[in-house]
Amino acid sequence: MRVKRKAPQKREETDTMSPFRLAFLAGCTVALLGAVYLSYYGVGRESSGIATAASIRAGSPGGGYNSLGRIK
Amino acid sequence: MTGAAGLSSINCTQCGAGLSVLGGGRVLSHICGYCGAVLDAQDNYKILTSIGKRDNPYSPVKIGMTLSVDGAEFTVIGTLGMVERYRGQVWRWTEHQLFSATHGYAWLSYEEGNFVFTRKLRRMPNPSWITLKTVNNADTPPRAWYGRKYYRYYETVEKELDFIEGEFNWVPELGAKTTSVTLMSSDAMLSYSQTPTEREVERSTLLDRAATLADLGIDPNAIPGAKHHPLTPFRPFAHEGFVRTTLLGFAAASLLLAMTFAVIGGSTVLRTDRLAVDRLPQSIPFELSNTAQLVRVDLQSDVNNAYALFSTEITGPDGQPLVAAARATQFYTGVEGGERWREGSRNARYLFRAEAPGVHEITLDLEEAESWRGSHVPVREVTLRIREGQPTYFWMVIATVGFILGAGALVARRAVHEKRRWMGSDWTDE
Repeated sequence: MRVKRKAPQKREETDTMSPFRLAFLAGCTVALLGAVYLSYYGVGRESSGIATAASIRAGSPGGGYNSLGRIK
Repeated sequence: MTGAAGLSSINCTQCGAGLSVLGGGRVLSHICGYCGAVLDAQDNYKILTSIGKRDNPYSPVKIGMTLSVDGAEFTVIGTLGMVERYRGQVWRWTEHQLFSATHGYAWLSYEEGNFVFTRKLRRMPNPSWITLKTVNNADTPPRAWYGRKYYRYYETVEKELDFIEGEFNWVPELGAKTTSVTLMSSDAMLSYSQTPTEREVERSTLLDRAATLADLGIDPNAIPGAKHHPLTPFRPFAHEGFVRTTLLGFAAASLLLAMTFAVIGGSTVLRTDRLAVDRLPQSIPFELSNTAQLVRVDLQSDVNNAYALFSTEITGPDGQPLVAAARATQFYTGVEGGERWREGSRNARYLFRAEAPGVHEITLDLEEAESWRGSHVPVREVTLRIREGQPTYFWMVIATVGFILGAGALVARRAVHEKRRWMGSDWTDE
């Protein structure tokens, strides 16, 4: 008599959307949309080595043309 | 401890101790655990020899315990103490012979807290036999094919019988040596075992420790914890496949968006003709309407084998300075060793954010310029371009890397598990 085989294990991946999966999808979507927002508006991507209005008005060189270290 | 039902027993024909008879009609020998007499189970328990009283090797599994494997009920009928000695190191473990009235004989090994179930193969693997010589002469780890799975060489063990007690379907001898060439797949081991008198091919699987302990009636807290076993299955996180696929999908989407943002530019609000540098400084007005996104300023000069530093100052609609920046363009070419080379760029740029919409003014000047070689004019002309509504791809690249790292961590975890499984292999490529 042959050894009785184990019944196939239930697949871990189920077709139903569990709360975890929904939350994970939502998290990834938020991360992606956040990156799109930051990229679209260029948040934090102003060039370094330039003097902005604030630093100019404050009399700081601010890396402007008194600071020629930033050469591209 | 659970006991097998319907036991019969005999008295040891040497010392008279009561011995349970559990092993069915194919048992050939019965070794008394009290006096060490080796009895012939097929001939009225006649004394074949005596090995004397010996210390039991440690194992929580005792003769008479029962367990269920793949739905078949087995009873522990014998205990072997095994030892392997190699270059001064000694490994010890126990192997228990099992008997099932419906499934015959098998083995339960206990080593470092793990339970391994072993059965002799009825169908032969391909190849049907691998010797130690085959292993030593192989350039790559020997492989075998059995039950739709590949097995790769893992180790060779020369084990020695160090202790015997109970019933066996053969006649074990103390000190008898067996050489086993073992191959491993994702969930099982194949052992090509050879003694001076016979050859066997066996398949071993790791039993679930908690279920086996419960089945045998052993308190898990009463025995040492299990060490990592090469057959320890990989345990994926819940929803791991979904998480990995999702992360890779989002990584692809992020990369696509990063490329899109890299390609698309803002709308041009100022593009000058070529400005002669000997007519600088020049002030040029331009109008900005988008203050939410970045403004991009591009300079392009005809600098050649020279360096030119330009300064710019931008004033806002209120006439106050908004941005001041200096950018250099430098471009060099030459021939060295018969090969042309070039270095630097004739372009320079910077990004800033406008504070208010309206007419701005940029003042462009040449701060300094210098030729690399010779006395030619370093730069003659420069063009200026300003775009508003300029996106950046930086954050999309960060998101792409983040998603890939997330998926990569899951893949790496599986790879680390696989590497750890094979760490105990004695195969070397030398």
